[in-house]
Amino acid sequence: MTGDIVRAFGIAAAAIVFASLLKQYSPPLSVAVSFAAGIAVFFFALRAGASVFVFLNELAEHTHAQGFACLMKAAAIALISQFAQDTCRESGQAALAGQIEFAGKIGVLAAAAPMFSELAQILLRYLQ
Amino acid sequence: MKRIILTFLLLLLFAVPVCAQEEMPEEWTQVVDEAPMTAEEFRETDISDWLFQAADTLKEAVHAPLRVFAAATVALVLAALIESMTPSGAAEGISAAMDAAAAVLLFVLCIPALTGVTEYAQQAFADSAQYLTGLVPVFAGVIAACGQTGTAAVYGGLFFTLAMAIANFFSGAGIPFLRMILSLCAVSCVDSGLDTDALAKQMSKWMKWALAAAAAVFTALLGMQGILAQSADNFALKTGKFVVSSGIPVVGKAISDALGTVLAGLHLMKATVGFAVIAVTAAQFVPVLMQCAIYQAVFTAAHAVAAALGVKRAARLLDGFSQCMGLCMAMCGLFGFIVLTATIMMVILGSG
Repeated sequence: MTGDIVRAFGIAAAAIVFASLLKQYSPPLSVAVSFAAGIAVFFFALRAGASVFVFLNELAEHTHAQGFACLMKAAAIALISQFAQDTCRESGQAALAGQIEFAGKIGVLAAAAPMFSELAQILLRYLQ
Repeated sequence: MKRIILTFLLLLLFAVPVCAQEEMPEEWTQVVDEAPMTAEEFRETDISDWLFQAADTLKEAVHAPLRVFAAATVALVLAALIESMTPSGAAEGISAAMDAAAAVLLFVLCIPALTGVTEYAQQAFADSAQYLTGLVPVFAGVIAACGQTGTAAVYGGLFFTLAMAIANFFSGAGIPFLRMILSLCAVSCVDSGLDTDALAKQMSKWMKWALAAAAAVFTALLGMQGILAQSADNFALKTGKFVVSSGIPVVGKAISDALGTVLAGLHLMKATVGFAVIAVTAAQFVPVLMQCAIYQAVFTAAHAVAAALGVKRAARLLDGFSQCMGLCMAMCGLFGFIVLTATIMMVILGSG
């Protein structure tokens, strides 16, 4: 786990240097380098946190497995969309970042849709 | 000859109190048999036995609420972990959507328990109303047999009407009102734009005021009517005894004293039947009250955990659940208090 975090920091530090150098000569390449480094850091962070996710999954199985699975999916969508927004803003594409935010919101709500559906059914039972 | 006949009549009169204590009408016996324990068993049970019984009942009742607390805590920890993983500069919309999803998950986890408790309470009100429909005429008959016709009229009239009205109101309107508050809590956790949380709290306050007012009015009315009726009954009894002792020559005083003995025996039976009513009502409502109290404690503890973890919407939702359980407990407590107080008052009044 520590190794993955150290690798992630190393990749991020190297990407900062390369991206700063490339920005003077070719800004699109600089954006591509920082984007690739971000994906790598994200991958290493997920690997480092794998044991935490396994533990949470085991806990979730004793309660409401479907609900927890929805919440984890929603969390993953939120993290990915946040990463994409930050990349767009860094490259000066604020409008695109806004659309990604909207897509992220829709994604989170869609991932949590089974729970909202269960909530609606409970409320309808009360009305009846 | 006259003396022999009078002595024979006197002996017959003394036999009446003995016979009165041995026989109980079938309806009264049925009421006493329905009780979970008799007055003698209650007197013979030690405090330590009561404590052990309470501990056993608590152990059985606490499993399901603890499971709900564990599930809610896991959901809160997961929600807090996910919120901490989301970057601090995260877009508000996504963060709010995540918060709503976590609160909805918590609602879905806790609502089966809440629905179960409210249905249990609703069933207890319905069962109690049915029991009172059969019992009140019988107990009123017992009270009338003790010479307290005014008190019997108060019990069979005012108390019965009010108790049935309250039971039907709680069962038909009180519990659905609680469910409305729960629905408003659910809406507030999904959409932070509508402040349904404040509306739910206000509805909860109205309910508490209504319950407090009903308790005060009922206790004052029943107390006053009971005492006035008892005064009239005492006057009628004393007048009757005076007329008998002074109107009938030779054996008038003996007949008056025998009447007192018969009434003492009937008061004992009244206390026995009254105790049976109290025992059945306690058996109907104590488990519900215990469930509501345990769930209220569980949701209050979960609210504290949510507040500590910084999961705000979930904390508001759990606070709403805790308030709902408190209201359910108040409704069950009020109805049980009304039935027990009225019955105890009828047992004590006129017993000397």
